[in-house]
Amino acid sequence: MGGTATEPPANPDVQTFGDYLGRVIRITVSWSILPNGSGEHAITGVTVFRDAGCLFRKLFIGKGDDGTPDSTDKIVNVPVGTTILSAAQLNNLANRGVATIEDYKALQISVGDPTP
Amino acid sequence: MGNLVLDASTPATVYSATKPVTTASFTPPANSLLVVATACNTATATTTGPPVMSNSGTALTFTQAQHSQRSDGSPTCDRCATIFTAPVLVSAAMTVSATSAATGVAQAAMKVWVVTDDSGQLPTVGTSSKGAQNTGNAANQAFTATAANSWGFGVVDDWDAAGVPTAGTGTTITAGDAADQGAIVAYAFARRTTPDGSVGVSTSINVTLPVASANLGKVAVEIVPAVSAAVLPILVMSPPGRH
Repeated sequence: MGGTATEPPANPDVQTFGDYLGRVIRITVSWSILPNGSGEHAITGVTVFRDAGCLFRKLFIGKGDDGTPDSTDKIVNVPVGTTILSAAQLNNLANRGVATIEDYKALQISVGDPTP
Repeated sequence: MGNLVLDASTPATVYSATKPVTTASFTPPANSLLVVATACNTATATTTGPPVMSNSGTALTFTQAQHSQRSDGSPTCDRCATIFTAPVLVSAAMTVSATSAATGVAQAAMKVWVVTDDSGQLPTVGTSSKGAQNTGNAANQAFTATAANSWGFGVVDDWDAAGVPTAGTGTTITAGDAADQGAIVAYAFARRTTPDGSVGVSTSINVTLPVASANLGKVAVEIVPAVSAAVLPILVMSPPGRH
């Protein structure tokens, strides 16, 4: 139900995007069901996927100062196939304000940087 | 007569829990028409107007084709589904944003289709329609085509967020263009699979809900080829001196 109704996000949370021909790029975020000291839920893993030929190559988490996704400081390059983000990549996201599923769901997730 | 084409510059659908919702940068070609559909959450029992549209760079002119809101339903039907068009005369990189008019809630999803005509001329807008429903799983929105080979585009906004809608007969929902944002809003941005409009014939954007909704809005718009057989006159001239 809309309005101010809420429910916990799915675990894992999956966001799928398609280009004009339906070739997909996808981000899957897993998170801990046990809350941290602040009552939020730590992100435990991120997997990205891109179809061969998909025109979109980058995931944008959030927006930059100009209000556009392309200027965010949280960009994930997505190779063709399935890629599991490393611990270092997860730390980078956490250092830029995305450490919990609550942090993540508060931001717009988008894709772009189409190949010419 | 030109043929409508969905351009490769079409950006991905976007959803945001905060205002505004903004596409990533994309570069539509000259003489393309942006068909922009939005599905916004609304506060309970509140009639909400269409979102405010904007873009980066040189401002485009967004023209509202249809808007379906709570007060349009009988009984009233919480939701906010809108569709706009905007001609692009000069190709340039841009982002498009929609700022929901809802108070108290901010979530919105948006789809931008970039439509061209293979004649190189600008497609135009034909007819449009809107609807609301409180029962049933079929969320179809019909219109009567005004031009041959016109193309229908639409959006279904399920305020009850009862699951991910799917495409019905003759309709395509591209991957990522339908979602259930967990008790907030579920939506489907859909189009006729091909430009199959026929003058005077009813055509429909057909969407199926997994669970019937008591609060669903839907809108559709017809996009017309740049040169249509429906309006092209046939002129026969005789050579001078011969009758």
